[in-house]
Amino acid sequence: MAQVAVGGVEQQREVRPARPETSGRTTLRRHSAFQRRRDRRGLWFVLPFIVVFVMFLVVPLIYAVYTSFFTTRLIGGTVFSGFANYTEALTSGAFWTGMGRTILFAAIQVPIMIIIAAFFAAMFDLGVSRFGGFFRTVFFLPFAVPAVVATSMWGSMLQTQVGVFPKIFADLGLPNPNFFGPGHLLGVIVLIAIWEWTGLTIIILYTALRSVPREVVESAVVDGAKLSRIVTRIKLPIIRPAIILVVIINVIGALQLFTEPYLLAPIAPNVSSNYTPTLYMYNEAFSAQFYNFAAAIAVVLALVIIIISGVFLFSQRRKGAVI
Amino acid sequence: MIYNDGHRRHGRHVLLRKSLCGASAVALSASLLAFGPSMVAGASAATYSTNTTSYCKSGATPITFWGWVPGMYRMVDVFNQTHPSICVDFVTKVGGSGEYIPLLNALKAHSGAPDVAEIEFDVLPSFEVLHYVTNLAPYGAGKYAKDFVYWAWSEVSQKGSIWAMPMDGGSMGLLFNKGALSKLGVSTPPTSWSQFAADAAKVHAADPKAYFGDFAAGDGQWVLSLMQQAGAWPFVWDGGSKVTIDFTGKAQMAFANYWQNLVNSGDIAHVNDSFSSNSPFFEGLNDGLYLTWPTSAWGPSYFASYVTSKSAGHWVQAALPGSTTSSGNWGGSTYPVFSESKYPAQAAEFAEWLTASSQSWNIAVTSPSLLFPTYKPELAAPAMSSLTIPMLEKGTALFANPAKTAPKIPAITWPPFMTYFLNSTTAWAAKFFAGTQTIPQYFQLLQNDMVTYAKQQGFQVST
Repeated sequence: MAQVAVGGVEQQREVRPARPETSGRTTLRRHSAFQRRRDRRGLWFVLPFIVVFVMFLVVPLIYAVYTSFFTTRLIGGTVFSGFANYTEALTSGAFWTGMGRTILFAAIQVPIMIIIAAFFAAMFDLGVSRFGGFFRTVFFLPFAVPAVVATSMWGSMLQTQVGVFPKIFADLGLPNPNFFGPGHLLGVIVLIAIWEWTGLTIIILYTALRSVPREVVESAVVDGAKLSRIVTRIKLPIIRPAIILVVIINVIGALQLFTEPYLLAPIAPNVSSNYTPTLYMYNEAFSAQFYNFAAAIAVVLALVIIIISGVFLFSQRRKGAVI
Repeated sequence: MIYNDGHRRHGRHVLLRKSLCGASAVALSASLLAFGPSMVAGASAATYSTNTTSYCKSGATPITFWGWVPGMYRMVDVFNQTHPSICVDFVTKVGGSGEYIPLLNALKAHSGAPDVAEIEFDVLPSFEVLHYVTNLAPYGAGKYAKDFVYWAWSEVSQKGSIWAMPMDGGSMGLLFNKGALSKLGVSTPPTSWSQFAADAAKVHAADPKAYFGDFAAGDGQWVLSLMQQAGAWPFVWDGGSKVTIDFTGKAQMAFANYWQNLVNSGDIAHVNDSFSSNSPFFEGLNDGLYLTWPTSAWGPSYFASYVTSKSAGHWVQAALPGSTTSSGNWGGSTYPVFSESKYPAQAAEFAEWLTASSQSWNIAVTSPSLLFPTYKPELAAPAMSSLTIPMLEKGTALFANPAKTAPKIPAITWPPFMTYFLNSTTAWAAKFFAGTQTIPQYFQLLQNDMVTYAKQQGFQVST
């Protein structure tokens, strides 16, 4: 047949197992041989990914763990030091202060952002706002601004003496709020993070809301359910997997908080070298030149993130979430 | 605005370059000359190529050179034209950690490192301790010892080894807002630190909104330059495994108390702003909030881009108080040859020509490089005392006072872990600015932190 001719030898071979066989045993054997061949062919397709994945993820990961068991000093060179780096990371207050701060950051930033995003996603979904498409784009725009640019922009607007906001405060006769003071700094970072990430969260939740079957909403309307009830009792529970996804992504992102405090440090001297665990890791590696200790911090941080996300996912799964 | 460590500490070069972005090489030097120094020492009408290898002959020994001084390609071009057997390829890097981090990585990997690179005086020991730099003594560098101010040569040499060629420095002076200060009853710059304190009180009483100066405790290099002058230098490094760290000795505490008293009286400000690009300090300096700034030779031209009609023409670069007996240095760079270099002799020949020849220096002192020499023949050049910039009071010199006191700078040694120290100062100074610690207490915290760190790095620490 023409099709076979086009497909060539390979395709002919593939159709062969479809022929009826005389013995069941042979079929099984032939089938598994075919399966094996197909697996190997698939391997060629995933090979580029596997090579990159192994080279740039698995190998560095193993290397980081390996490195973390050594100590290199400016005087004395490199020696095997067992769990010494881990003991130091886990017992020094420096790591846990930063860890505590990022957990606090996540606990404030993630819920506020998701509530705001869910509200706007529901508004857009209900079509109650005019120019919905325009506003969706506007809200999404900050996500297109690189975090470096966003932080520099907010940094210069809030800067104690030359910033726009302190000038507005001064013009209103209010005292200088000192946005980078110890009391406000985390709040400023929360603000920047919310500004950056809400747009993306709105889009994820909005897309999920759009996929809720019309019939479900229609039957609720027929039953006389109020709009607010439809949103809170029907739509949001249906998109729960999307909400869980957003929570997980943002909690992991929050625990790895780096760009904003790193870029604010020169104008906000309250950003300490261990302000967040990633910043602590960076400073230990590139300022103090304790690369091995930094590797140990990285491993501990990864474990903490795995545990926190795992516990959250497990608790949600027990409640019947499918993700 | 981009903030990073490199910009903070090396902002002067970065700032100069930033203002030049997008301009062509020719337009750039022309426009800068219009605002820059009126002196154009030895600058010919020659045009330079930013691609320095375009002057190379085929078969010339290739040398790679990293640096960030604006306009450095001009010196390299001249070298390549006058040394046809060597071809130096100049690669522009982002100043400070923008260069050091890739450089350390390349040296550690034994691959991709340049032959020569710009390294600041304070960072050079961090490369020495890892044995990444070549001793230049076998390549004839020793004959230049007498050509450099004593402190500069002593910072690059250790027990007969010469680890780099020194080039520019930052001899300290006092930038003095004569226009505003003469209205407040202080018309001549203070010549001693006790006079500085008295003037500070007088000025703050006359105008409670204005301060004579600002103590930027978190700017570690600035604080160290003043400690150097005060004979309170806290570090000794023997070039090997022994370091001394002393922030709590008698001289250091006297220094800390002097500034703490000025802070207590409220006569000088203590705002947590560094003296680096984008710092609000410069706006305050221009606005008349701060009326003097103890700063290095490059300080005025660094501040120049913030100057508006509010303070233009009001400034005098005076001598640092007390600098007739002792002075300090803030900033400057050295040029080592790396042990990875395949052609150390040619690399050394280039580093020596760059830092110790009038041919190179005649270009280096002009815009946009504006380097302040540690090379004595250039320091003594008559042009040095006449160079001026428009922000200064008409007819007053930019470099004359720092040049005069440059030989009074005492020789010191840097510890081989300055990056850590500078981060540490920023961290601990935050407690001083928050008002929970005094300067002596801040010095005690620094002392504890640095001693712990040095011990962790395997040093034998004396205090």
